[in-house]
Amino acid sequence: MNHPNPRALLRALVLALPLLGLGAIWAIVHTRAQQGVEWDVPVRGYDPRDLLRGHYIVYRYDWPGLDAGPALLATARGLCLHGEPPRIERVAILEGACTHPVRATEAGSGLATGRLYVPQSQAAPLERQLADDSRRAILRFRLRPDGHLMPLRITVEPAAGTRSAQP
Amino acid sequence: MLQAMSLRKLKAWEDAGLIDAATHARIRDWEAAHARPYALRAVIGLAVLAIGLGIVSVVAAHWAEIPGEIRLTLHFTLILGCLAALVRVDHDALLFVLGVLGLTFFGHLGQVYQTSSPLYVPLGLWLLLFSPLLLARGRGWLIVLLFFATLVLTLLVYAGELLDRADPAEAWRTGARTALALASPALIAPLAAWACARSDRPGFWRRLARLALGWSATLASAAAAASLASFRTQPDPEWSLSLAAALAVSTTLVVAAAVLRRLRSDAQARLEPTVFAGLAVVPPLAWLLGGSEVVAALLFMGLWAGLALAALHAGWREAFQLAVALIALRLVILSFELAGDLLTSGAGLILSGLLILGVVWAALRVARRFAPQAPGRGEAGPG
Repeated sequence: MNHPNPRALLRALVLALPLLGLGAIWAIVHTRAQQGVEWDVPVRGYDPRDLLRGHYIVYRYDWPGLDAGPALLATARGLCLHGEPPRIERVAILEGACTHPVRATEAGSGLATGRLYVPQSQAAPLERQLADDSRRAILRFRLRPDGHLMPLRITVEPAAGTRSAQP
Repeated sequence: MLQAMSLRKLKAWEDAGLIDAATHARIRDWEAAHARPYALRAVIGLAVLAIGLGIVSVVAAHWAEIPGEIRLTLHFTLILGCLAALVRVDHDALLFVLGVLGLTFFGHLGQVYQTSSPLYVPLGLWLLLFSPLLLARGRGWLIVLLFFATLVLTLLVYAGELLDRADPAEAWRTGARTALALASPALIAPLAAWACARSDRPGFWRRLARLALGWSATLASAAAAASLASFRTQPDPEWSLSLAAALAVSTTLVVAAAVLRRLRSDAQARLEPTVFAGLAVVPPLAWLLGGSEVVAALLFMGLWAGLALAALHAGWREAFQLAVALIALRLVILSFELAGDLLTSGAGLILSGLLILGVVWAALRVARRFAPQAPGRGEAGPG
């Protein structure tokens, strides 16, 4: 007659819930982060920074070959990337079938702007470089199969014109 | 290791004939046998603290260089440690640390994996995972406040998001959903009353019930304050949005009152459902009558006069004094609303100063004279 005490069982469950829940959420986020292919896109600095949530760099995408204003981007369902990863040849507003779709999410900053968390020590220099017109910032992002865009890192290099001027 | 001062005292007591020599000796022996090496403990504690701070600062200095997964593992291990300690120990401070570690884990995940979601999602998930533990084990104000403040913050953020994304064509739905979200903490009151009767921590549930009542009174006050504007005469999105919101808040409060009424049948406990039912009347009244300074002020003061009366019945001193103070404050504000030009002339300034002094004097007198005595925490007042 070794019935488990229901109170003790409940107590154990209540203690296990945060652990199992956080573990499961971590596992899901981790698995999702491994999916998809990586692409490069030029970005430009964008003010203001989101002070509330720590050191985020906020940037504006410079989608190659897309001449759509911010208003169109705000209402678009998504974008379609053409090219071989990681090089984007051109980008169009998403309509119908597409091999590499980027979908707009309600939560994210959308198709026009995005943000990347960077450690405190790198935030200020990176922000200065982003504001500098003689340099070109490239965002490496991972595009998940579901069309969700995950920023990975920003690298800054001299802009194409400057580079040819100073061989 | 009796302190010099205590030795002197013992000697003095012996000299004064309060204790005899034998007692003096016994006290000294007992103290010597039960001495605690405070100095040694302090030094060890200091050393442990220094090592701990050292580890924290080394980790912090290299935080950016540690790979994300390892940082998260460290964070997760800390949470695991707190939970393991909670198997044996019951302590609010430990629960609080665990709760905060859990909250920050969501932010940490977002930083490492560069994900983003509306703020109410991680807050809601945290509530889902941690509130059973907090409610099952918490004892004092620390945990009550951690739970309730997070709940209210989550709902505020969610309500803000709903209003941001509102479609003008769906004003009814938006108003009702927003108001239901904001008013739902009122339902904690019946839950707390139910648990209070069964739990070995009635104090915890009573505190929670007080917060639920306080939040409901805040919502009713906000409705009374909003009745400065006349929503009834406004064009459509505002008209239906405000009516839906008023009705939704009112309904939630009525439900809370009804469940409370069923749960507690003793005469003293009838007060609590009555208070909730009274609060439920305010939002629709504010919507119907709104549109003038006098109505807004009367609604607000009537609301708090009712609450003061209830506090008087329940013997809840602080609540009574708060109610009196709020009524006095509203009276002063009303006087400026009605006669704002008083401030432009010397005589007017003197008059308004005298008025404020009079109101404050009357409020102080009422608060002192009629306030119930402080104890009575043991009884089943409004939460």
